[in-house]
Amino acid sequence: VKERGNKEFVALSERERERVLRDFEDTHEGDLWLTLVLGYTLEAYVGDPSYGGNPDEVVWRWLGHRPGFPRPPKQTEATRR
Amino acid sequence: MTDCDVCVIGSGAGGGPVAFSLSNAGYSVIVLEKGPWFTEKDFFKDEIGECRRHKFTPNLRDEPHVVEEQDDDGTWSAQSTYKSGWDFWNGVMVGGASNLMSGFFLRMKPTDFALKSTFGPIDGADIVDWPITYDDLEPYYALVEREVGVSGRVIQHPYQEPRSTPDFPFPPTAEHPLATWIDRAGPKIGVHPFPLPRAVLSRPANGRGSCSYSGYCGGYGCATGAKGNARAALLDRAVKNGRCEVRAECMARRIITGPDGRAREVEYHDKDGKVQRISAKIVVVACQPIETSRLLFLSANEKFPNGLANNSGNVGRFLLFSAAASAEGAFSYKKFSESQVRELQSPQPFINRTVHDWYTIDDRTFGPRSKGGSMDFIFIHPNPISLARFFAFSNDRRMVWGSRLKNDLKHYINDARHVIVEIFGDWLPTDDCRVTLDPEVKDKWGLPVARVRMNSHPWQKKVARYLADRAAEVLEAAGSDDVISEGSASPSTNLPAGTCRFGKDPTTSVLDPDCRAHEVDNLFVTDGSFMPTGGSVPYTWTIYANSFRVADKIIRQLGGRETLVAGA
Repeated sequence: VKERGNKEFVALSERERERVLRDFEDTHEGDLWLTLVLGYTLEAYVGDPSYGGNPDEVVWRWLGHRPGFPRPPKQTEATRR
Repeated sequence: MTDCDVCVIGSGAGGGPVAFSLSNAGYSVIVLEKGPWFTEKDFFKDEIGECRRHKFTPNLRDEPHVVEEQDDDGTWSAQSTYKSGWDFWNGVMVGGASNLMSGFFLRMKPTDFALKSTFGPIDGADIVDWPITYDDLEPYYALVEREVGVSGRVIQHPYQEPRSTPDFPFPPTAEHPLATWIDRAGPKIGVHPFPLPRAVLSRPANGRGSCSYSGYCGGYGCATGAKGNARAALLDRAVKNGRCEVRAECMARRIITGPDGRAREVEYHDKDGKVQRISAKIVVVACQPIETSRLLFLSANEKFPNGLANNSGNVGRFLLFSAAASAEGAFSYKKFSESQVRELQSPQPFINRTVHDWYTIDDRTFGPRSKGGSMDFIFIHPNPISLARFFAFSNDRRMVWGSRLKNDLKHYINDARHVIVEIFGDWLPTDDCRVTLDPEVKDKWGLPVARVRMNSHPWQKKVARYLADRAAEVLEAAGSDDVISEGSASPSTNLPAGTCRFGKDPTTSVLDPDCRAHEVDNLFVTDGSFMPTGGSVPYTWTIYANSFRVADKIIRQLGGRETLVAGA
């Protein structure tokens, strides 16, 4: 699924990538998989930097988002649930 | 000798006041709580950890419910919540769901205690008057203001319920400037917004901190102790007096009765899963309505083949939620002056206004004079992952990702303030909204799970639609545009009530007016289960107040002096 015309997904143009993903979205398993991956991507994108995404709150600053406090401690393998 | 005078099952707004009052009055209390014991130090404004990873609720694989709904053609079908993901758990921890509330605190109004005699019957709904009046509960509403801590400000308005004290013991929490905009809009359309009381401390008291105005209040634990949850406000103090023990991660599995049919012992799974027993003179059940009914069913025995205190067949009947509706609008910055935009962008999290002009609907275009509901104003929850998920997944046909998603999100956060009017209406009691035990599905302890039959009465949908339209008018008068209003029929799973209604007649109610089981005189229920009708406000203040009232009845039954009498 990730390849079309013998090209790696990352080597595709933006238009081609969009078409590949939309075709995949039209399949049952593609819809489930993309829902899961997009959901986790959004957690990394706008979630707390302590989880490893959104480094230095770069997305929050771009977005004008104000986090609350107290902020969570840095997550380690031991504290991850 | 028993292990304790009183065993309280459940540590939320229903169990907390009993543990607090009884232990203060000199009685020994053991509280069993299924969830863990978090303290202020365990709470962070961490959307992933606290809102998305079940930190405060059981895994639905281990502990599902089964929900039964009616299709359009009238057939009922049931599905485990593990499959549907429709979560009926709230806060399962010491202090219960009161840890996660937003703390909108409103008293029920005198007419709520007499809905049937005030507005008459409604076909297909089993509406009854309460066996007590507002005056019976008023001193306890006042007690909650002091002990749990309610902040607010009494002003002159036409919908003020009678009060025994002139004002709240705590001044109001800081208000967002939008409150003034709503105040100014009121007279334009003939409505009377007034300050919303809140179970959030505006200054430190009883070892608890004041609100830090961090936002992220509803759905999150409170890190300062300002939120009046049952743990910070009551149980922490009860434990300090030395007569109250809280056993966390202990799951009650049945109540055992003696040969006389009275409650004698509570059997539970401890932290390690081992089965233990506690004997008590009085057993108090406060697990929240669905689980309270389930525990009574699980406690069936020879004397009570249909469940403890259920020879009348009334346990589990007339489950209530809050009949929800809402309106949402944008205050778009481009419409306003620079100083107005600065006001809109102010960081105060609370708007603190409520509108009760349609608590009773007296409008010929609607129909006969009817029970309506209350409204309050909130900013859309600032959780960024939920917002991003909303834009990604709420398009009907396609997921939204990439630059379009980024633009949608940035535009939404930076071009306007978004305000929701939440509406609380009466969920009508019907025979098609009830709790039983599921015949097949079991939880991780091997116990049958609760099965919730769910239906909403068409009348409440009509009321919700009407109120949503009125809420939209209020928002527009305050300067909002793009207002969308919605009269939702789906239940507010965070506000359950009913299933063990109280009343004078033992053939039609589970509990007597003191919330003592008609059939078992040392068994009490003190969560929201007792409510035969729910009123049109969030239930928490009423549950707290009633639990304090029942605590006084229990103290009297044990031969002591009631707190209100002693403290007067």
